[in-house]
Amino acid sequence: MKTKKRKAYQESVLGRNPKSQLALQLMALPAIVSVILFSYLPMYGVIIAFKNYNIFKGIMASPWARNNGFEHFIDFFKTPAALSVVLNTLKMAGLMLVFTTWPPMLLAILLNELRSSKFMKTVQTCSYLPHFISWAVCGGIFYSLLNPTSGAINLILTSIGVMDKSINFLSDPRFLVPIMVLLRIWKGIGWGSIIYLGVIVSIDQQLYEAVEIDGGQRFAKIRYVTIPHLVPTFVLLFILECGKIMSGGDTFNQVYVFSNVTNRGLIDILDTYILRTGFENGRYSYSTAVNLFKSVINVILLLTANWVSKKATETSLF
Amino acid sequence: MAYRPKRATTFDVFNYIILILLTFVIVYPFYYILINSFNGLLTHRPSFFWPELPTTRTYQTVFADKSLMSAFFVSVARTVVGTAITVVETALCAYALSKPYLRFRGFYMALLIIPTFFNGGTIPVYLNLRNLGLVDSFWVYVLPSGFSFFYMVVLMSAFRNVPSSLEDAALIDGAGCWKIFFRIILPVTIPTFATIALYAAVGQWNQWFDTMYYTKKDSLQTLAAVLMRIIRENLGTDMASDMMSDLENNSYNPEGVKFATMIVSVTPILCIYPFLQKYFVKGIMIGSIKG
Repeated sequence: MKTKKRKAYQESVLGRNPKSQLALQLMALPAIVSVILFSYLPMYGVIIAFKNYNIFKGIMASPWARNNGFEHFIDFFKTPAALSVVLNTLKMAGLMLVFTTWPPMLLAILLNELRSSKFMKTVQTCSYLPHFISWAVCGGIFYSLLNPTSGAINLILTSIGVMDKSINFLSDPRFLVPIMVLLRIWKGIGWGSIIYLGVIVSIDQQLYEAVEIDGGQRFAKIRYVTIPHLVPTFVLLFILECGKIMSGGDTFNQVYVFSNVTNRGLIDILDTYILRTGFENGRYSYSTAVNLFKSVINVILLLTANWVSKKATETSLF
Repeated sequence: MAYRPKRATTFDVFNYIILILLTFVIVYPFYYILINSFNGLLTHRPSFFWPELPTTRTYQTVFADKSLMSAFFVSVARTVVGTAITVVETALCAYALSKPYLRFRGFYMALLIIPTFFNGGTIPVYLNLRNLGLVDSFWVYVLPSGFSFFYMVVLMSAFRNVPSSLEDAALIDGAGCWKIFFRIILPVTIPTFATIALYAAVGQWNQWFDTMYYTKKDSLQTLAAVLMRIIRENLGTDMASDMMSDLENNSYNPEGVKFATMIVSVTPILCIYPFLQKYFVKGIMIGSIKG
């Protein structure tokens, strides 16, 4: 009641005062201008997806593409690369969804079961470390560790007899994708656990005592109290991840670092394909068309994910 | 904290073993680049536990390399300037939008949220930056990233938690919006500001894409982009890189120099983040709860 009165007071002084309204508008202005300049102006450039963009003529004067402007889209669907790139995008996103979403939750559960909070703190601080490191550095580290002739992993595995001879993990089709998934877990497990630990902290301690009175042991507490509390958060995060399937996000950085001419066929995703056709081959209109195709599917996926999330967990973005 | 039995069980033993292993797997790669950055052995054979022939010549090579040092300072500059712009621009907007009586508030909100779902795409973004005269300019690093919707959401929820009595007291004393923001709101929400600044700074420090594609100038190269080139070159990519051949021509243990460069690039972050840990933990919770 009191706060309501105070809010009203503030509103009556500030809200009706033209000077303070102007001050607030000025505060919002830089961000609004920035978004218009750097996010909305490029949207108009999407039109080159339907044109044959010519650098010298500019966006407006460039001629329209054939087939009512859909030439580049048709070209893309006709190339054999299209199918493999789309499939790779789906494959990478699917694997990441299945294998990288739950380890943070598991880590949070294990951390919560620790008896020493000092040890817990140390593990946590260490586990956040990879999150702050760029993919370039990660690539450098693991390129060296996985090196077929001098890398630690090959030397250890061959010396204890797991393998007869060393393997070039980063170009072997059997290992490349699993390694990329493992690296994603390595990089994200600690950071991802933060939110689950936050949920665990908010669990009512009486619930654990109740399980104890019922004769439940450690696993019973995890099984019947901790996990059920974490599942809604997990579902929400999982659904939101689904909305990002087509946009590479972190996968883009990773693929960019680890792909080369020899292994490209295995991990080339839409984002890297768009970048290559656009910047390296200079096919501006074609690249923009592929990008537009990606964006449209992405928006559809996001809206679907949001709708499913609303139905399933009553939480949604908008 | 969960309710726990008093005696250590087998579960505890396994739990400790698993977490110690996990910590080792996470920390060892960093230890590995650290010891190999001091490796004085002139072959491509890395050390695993202790540098053979420990030396600091690798670091001397890095610090004597003009292009690497220039890249380092450009990285520092873009991190400082970029973080400042992002924090100020986003926080001012967040404050304005946290006031329900801001006129056009709904419209602004829609305007700001749409780009998080849909953007023009790589090439239109590039053409736009070129039209704006930002290509090959330092400003391309710090202006386009000036506003972040995610940071704004985190800041807005922090501002809403400030008791309005604080603002009212200042109002009665005749303070305006700007004064209230800088004298009242900012001091009590410093932890959130620290979190946002950390996020933005890490993002700026690790950003390589704009350097690679929006500029060709040697004087604008950043450490992250140089590292990206070096590492991709190592992986056998077809991209030509003058930077790397410079390093190779230096001929003093290129592997060791590469590791020293990586250490130089990760050290600033590693020195900062553990101290801000309790803040960013709070920040990420608010951010993810609010979407």
